[in-house]
Amino acid sequence: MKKYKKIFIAFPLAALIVIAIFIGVFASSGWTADVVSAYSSKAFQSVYEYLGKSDEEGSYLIQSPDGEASFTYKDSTVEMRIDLSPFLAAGLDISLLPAGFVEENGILHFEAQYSRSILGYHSAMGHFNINFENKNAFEWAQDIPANEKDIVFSLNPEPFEAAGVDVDHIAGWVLGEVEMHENGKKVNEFRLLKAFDLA
Amino acid sequence: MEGKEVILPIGGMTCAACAKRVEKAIAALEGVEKTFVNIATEKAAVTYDSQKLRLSDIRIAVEKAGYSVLETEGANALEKQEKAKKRELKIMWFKFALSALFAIPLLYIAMVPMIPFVRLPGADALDDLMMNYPLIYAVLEFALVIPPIIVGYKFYTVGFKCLIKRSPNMDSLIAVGTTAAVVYSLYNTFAIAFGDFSGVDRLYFESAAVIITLILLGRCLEAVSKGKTGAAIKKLMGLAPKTATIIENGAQREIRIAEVCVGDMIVVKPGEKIPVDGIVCEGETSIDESMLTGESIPVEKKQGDKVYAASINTTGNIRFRAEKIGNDTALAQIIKLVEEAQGSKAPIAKIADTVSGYFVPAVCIIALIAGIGWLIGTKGDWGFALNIFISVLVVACPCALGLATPTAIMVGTGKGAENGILIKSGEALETAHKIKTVVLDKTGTVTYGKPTVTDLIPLGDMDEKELLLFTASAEKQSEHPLAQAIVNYLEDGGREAVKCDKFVSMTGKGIYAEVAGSTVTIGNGKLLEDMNIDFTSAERGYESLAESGKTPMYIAINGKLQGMIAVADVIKPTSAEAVQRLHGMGIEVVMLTGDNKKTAEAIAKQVGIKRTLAEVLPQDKSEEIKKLQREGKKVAMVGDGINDAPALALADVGIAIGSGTDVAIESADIVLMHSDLNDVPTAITLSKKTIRNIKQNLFWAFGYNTIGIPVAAGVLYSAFGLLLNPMIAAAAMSLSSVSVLLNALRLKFFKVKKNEKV
Repeated sequence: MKKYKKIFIAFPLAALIVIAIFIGVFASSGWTADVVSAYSSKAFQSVYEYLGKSDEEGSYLIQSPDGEASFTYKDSTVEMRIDLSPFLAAGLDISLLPAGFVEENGILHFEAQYSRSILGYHSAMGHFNINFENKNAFEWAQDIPANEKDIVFSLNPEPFEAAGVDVDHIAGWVLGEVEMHENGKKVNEFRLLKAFDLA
Repeated sequence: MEGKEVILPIGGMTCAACAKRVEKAIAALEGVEKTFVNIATEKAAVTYDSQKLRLSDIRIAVEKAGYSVLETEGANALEKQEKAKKRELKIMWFKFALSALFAIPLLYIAMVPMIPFVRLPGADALDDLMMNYPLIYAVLEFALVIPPIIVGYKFYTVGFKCLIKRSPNMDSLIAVGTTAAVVYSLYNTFAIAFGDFSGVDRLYFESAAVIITLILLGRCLEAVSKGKTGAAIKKLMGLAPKTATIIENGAQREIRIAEVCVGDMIVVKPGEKIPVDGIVCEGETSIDESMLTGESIPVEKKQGDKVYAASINTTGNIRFRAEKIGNDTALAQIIKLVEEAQGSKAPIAKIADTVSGYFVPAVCIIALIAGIGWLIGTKGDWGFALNIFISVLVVACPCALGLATPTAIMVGTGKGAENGILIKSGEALETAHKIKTVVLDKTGTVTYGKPTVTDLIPLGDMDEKELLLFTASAEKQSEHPLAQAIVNYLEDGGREAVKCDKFVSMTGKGIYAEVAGSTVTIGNGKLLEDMNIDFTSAERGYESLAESGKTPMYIAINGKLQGMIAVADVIKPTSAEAVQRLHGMGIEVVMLTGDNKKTAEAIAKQVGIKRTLAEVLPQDKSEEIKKLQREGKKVAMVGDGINDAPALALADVGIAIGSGTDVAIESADIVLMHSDLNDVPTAITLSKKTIRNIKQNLFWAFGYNTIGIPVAAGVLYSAFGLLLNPMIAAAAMSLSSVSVLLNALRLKFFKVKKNEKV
């Protein structure tokens, strides 16, 4: 009987502890399992408070302080715009850009339909990111005061190099090596970066 | 009246009223003296007259009252124990399977995204889950670790209890190690929930699950091999029959073995097993006692002879009276001896225990120091420090240390029992390998202990047959063992002694008798001198027989020397071989006897013993053992008689001949059931192999820990980048236990070899 008494006490107690842990975890995350999504929104709001501009309701525009790049969210569509002037100065031949690179009046457009799958977390940088095609992305910091790069426009240098750009000498852009997580391993890849510290 | 008290476990009682009902039902039976039913223990204590009542009557009464009597002893109880063990093993395997069922997917989820070169199925999805949905990933891992923790809850209850009592054991290491892993992982899960997504890289749930699973697997394998080592006991237990046919009120009735009472008349037909020990009252038969003595030739049994439980009646019907039942039978005693030996702890085991006592706290301290050291060294890398801490705790689990000695002792004693060598204690098994001197009692040990006619030499006009007839007929009146040997010699030839008209025994000289009208004088030279009979022509032959260890006697008929007869205790055929084997092993063999020096030396010479201690009084035998021990030797005494008991008890290892007296068997450490001296070198060889096996086991157990701990502590990390993952540490630890078990089981292949030199 003593044995059963122990079981009667131990099992509900263990179950309570497990339930309490589950509740505690989800309460800590704000009752969401998708913490990346939840925290990315909060971080984006912070960035928007610094640089945000919006003409219409439900539309979010973040303009880089130098005015050469911007990120827009509108009607579940995300768009990154890059001013090609410094690229042209560095030797860009627009006709050599591969398919999928849309250029209009000297502005390069990267556009995508927003879905959870294009939202990611770049752990090496402490950044959330919206990934466009061809390894191009817009990133924003999770912790603005702690991070030195609070917004980053990130471009894959390879298509530009192929289109005649001297990627080491683009005004306003830096060619940097970035630690990425790819297929289960950490890899270092080169990216053209335009980063800004907001705080 | 024969009062018998039994304690019966009663099934089906739920309250005090039930107890009263059972009590009333039993008390109502005729022959019940008193009964008391205890509801708390669910047992009934019954004192009853076994002449009036049987256990089955009580059982029926209890069943009529609506309850049941559970098995307490006998074959059914053994079966139940066996079933319980099997059930326990099944539960252990189930726990392992359940743990593995969750640990394997958990391991897959945790490790696959981290495997750099091979992309296993689902790797991309898991990678995505880990990077983009870290909380789901962490919670999923936590959910999967719960079942292994539940099935391994005993590690925590036992481990922490021992830790609190300041006597940490291997369960403490597992409990501390896995708790550290789970708690740290939970901390990181909360960190993820609070937005620190890097916590996903610091989850160690899979380590805890895999550690528990591997240890459970180790425990299952351990239980399986323990079951195998206990096979000798099972074999012995399986020898006993389950029922007996008794004669009650002139009719035969088959009853369960547990119900047989002392004094019951039991009938055994040819081909049946003897159910309990007893004395034959009617009939003659041959009984195969090979299970007890190893002797393959069936033994003739007639009225007055003893029969033993589990031996097989081969030829005739017999009726015998039960003398020893239940745990008193020879078979039960043998089982008890083997069980006690298997359960006993050899002194070498104490080394492992002592080391474990210091080892566990030392490991906890090393783990703590290594963890803190690396935390400082890595400037606060908690994950790395925890990895080190857990690995050290897990790799150091001293289960292999705990297994090293008992498994080898169990297999060794079991193997001994299989070969007719009952080793009563682990200590005896251990000491036997150090034996440098073996002291052999002569009579009954080196020899059969029964005098036999060895020479019959006619010296006159009578032929051998006629001479023997006169001699045996005269000796038939004597009670002397030598006379009995002469009569047996005649009867073995199928002849009967003739009537003896007159008989005079002359102590220390011989006998005088009148047989068929002739005078017969049998004795030594002194007797013949007294009778004025000339024997000078035979004196030389007489001396020669005496020198070869025999007892010669002159035979004179009608005042004239007609011949000589010699009687001697015959040497067992294997004695010389056994002595040779012992010499081959570098062991000195000494013969100890109360017999005269001449006879002793003659016997010793025939078997190859160089040192004899003759004319030693029974009370001085132990003194001779002491003298040998004072020479700094480990001494084994081999004997069979009551007079050998003190020497057997005093010797470093006492070895009793199985056909010897109960007192000798009780006093000895090892019993040779085959009564074959060749089993002495075999027992010593078995001891040497067992001790060697234990040492190998200890080497493996210490080796794994000695190498594992510094590697787990990160000693090789700075120089070579080598680090022991907690899971690999668990696998290595389990491997050490398995290798120790497998090594111990190697002893099962021990074979008795003749002329084996170690």
